Amino acid sequence: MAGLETRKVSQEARTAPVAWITLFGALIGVTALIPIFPYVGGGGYVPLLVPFAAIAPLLLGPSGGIAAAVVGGVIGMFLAPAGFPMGLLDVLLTGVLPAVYTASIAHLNKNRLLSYLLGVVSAAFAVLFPFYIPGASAGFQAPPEPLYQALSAIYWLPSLVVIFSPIGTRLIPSLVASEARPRKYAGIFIILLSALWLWFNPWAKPYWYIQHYVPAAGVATLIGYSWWVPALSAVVTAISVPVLEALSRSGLPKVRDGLW
Amino acid sequence: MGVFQYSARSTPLHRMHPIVKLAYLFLTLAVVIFPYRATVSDLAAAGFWALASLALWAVARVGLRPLGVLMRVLAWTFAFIIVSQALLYEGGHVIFSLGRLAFFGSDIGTVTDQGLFWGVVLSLRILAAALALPLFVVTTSPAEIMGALGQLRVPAKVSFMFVSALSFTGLVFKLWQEILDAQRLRGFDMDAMNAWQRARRAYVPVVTPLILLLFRKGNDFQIAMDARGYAYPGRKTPLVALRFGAQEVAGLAAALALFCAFLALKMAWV
Repeated sequence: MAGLETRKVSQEARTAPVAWITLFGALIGVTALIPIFPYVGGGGYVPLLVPFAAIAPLLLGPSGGIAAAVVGGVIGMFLAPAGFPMGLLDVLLTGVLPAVYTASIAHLNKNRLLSYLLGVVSAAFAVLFPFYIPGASAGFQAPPEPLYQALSAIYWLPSLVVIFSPIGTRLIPSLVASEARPRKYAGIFIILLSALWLWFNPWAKPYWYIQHYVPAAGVATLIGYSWWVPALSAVVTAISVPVLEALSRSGLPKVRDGLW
Repeated sequence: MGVFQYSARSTPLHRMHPIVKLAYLFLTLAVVIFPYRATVSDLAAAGFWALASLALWAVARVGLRPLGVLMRVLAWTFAFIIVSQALLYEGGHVIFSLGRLAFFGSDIGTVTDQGLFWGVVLSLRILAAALALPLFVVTTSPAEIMGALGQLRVPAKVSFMFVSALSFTGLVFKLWQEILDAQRLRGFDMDAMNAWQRARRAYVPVVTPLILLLFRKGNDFQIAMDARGYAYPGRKTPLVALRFGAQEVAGLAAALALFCAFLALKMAWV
């Protein structure tokens, strides 16, 4: 038997198989063709890819979900260039970041430092970029205050409260692990809402910079998305919980750190 | 729906090494992320890159259908950009006014010539990106993409995932359509719903079986891959041997020359 290798096959949860990542990546890519909301400041549309990328880490675990989002983002850019007006940069902003933020909040206890860093960077984007940094030196006018900061706070303050408090470290894991449906819905909704609010800042602000937004356009965008992000999170929660439940009953092999 | 999928032809663009086409994509990225202003030089630069990509579409001879699909999607995007910028841009001569509509410091009831012009510049910039991106996938076969990514030292696992996912988009469309048809037979017609009804109750009966079916097929696919030695740790050999010859050097030089011309227009050197 020299030269033969044997491997012990385990039924324990494993990382997402390459084939699943590939197929879910293809699904994410295809959903780039379907617009769900226009850019409030003009210039493109938010594709259905965003919610599918956001739920990828819940189904495939953090690494598998982010890998699927990268694959889906690149494929989506080629299939639906109108949804990626900034090309490869939009692959990162529109395709990958929703998965990164969801993974960071859904698995807060695994890598707290990274989650804190992502949250703080997102908050800094919300507060400062682009009207204060680079600000006037790049030709940006000062926005109306305190209105602008009050509106911006919607997109970072509640999420930071979740990340830096026991809501993120204790409540979310217990809600998500619960067998009771309403609690599960609540857990997934908090994850998605916190993640998508944080995602909005690094997603939208580079666009404001490149499109050279005037303060009025910035304020209009903040108002325009303030209802949309929670609504999107609610719809995505309504989709993802039945999927997670169906997967847990399907007999398919479990994925490590997937929420099913 | 597979309008942006590989279409086999024998054109110079199809024969070109994929790395040259990737270089063109990265140059397009640079074109897009350059800061723009509402100036004639920026309009000319963005228009020049869009025209260059349009010329490559003609060289690739992939037909007008993909271009038509792209333009239909982009048309409303451009309309939205031009109208919003015309109303929000501050500065320029007033073309017409709906009256003073103050909105946090801006007058959004006035359409200015500079606003319209800025909308056109932004639209051309998006067009420049949108025309260049699909060229790569419609003129490069999956085997060539694998070979080129291998030459760029991209890990085989990563390039395999990208190329397979690109090939599987057709399968996703097919499954999606089959599930829609099956649900329609049960009296659940998603097409007949408005946006609110769709958001509220249309996606769960479609998305849940779709994801389950995809993962089940993924299991079969994984077994097929393993049976063909996918997990073998040795060096992978490419199906297509790609050569970087004189034609590729000329192609790369042409892409760089186009970029230099773009820069010259952008910086108003011409």
